[in-house]
Amino acid sequence: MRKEPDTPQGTIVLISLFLIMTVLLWFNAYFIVLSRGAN
Amino acid sequence: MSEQTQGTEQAPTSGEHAAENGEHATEAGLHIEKWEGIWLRIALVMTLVFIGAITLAALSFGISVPGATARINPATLNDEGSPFATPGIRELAPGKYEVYMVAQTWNFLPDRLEFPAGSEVTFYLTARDVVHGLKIAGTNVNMMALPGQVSTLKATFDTPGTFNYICHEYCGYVAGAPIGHHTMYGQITVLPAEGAAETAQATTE
Repeated sequence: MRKEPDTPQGTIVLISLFLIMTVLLWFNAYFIVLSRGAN
Repeated sequence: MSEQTQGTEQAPTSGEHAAENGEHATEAGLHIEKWEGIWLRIALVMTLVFIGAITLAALSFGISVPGATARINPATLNDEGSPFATPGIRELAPGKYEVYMVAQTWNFLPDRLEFPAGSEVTFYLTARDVVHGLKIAGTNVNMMALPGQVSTLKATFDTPGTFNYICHEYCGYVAGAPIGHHTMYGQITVLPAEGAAETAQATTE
């Protein structure tokens, strides 16, 4: 019987952290720009 | 002769392999692993959300990027009739101003600006010699100053206070002299609306 490869849990955690940080930092910069008003 | 015979025998063999591989690929189709598909979908959703947020900001809040309005020969900046011959502020209407600014090694003309709070200011910026930049700290104003191009950007200064502006494109220095890119800066003073002078002022030190 063919064995499925193990789920790469460490990779999932690291990429999840990377994605969360990307979203948080992106929206942080976005809301700073909005708070400064329109050009 | 024997080599030629081997060569002719090998040709159909490799062709057979190609046919086998082709059949195999067709049967298997495009296979995407479970987590690969999940990450692809997440990245696609993030990209769409980011683009949507930028579009929303551009359309709803009027936030835009600087644009190039015209081209100008840097050698003619001081010619009669050129708006950059007398850089400074032009008042279009109460609370509406234009600023013609020249960036050059290593200062801005003018390097002191004063507006009443609530002023809507349109910057026209060009460079006399090399590439410079204009970044007004604490605001969204961030422009390139290119020789030969007039860059423009509109900004509204609602909050009284002082806003320093700097050159943010490295433009050189003189070895051993206390001048250079790092000394290229200016300052905007936004005065409270009730106590402000009737018109804005621009000076150059």
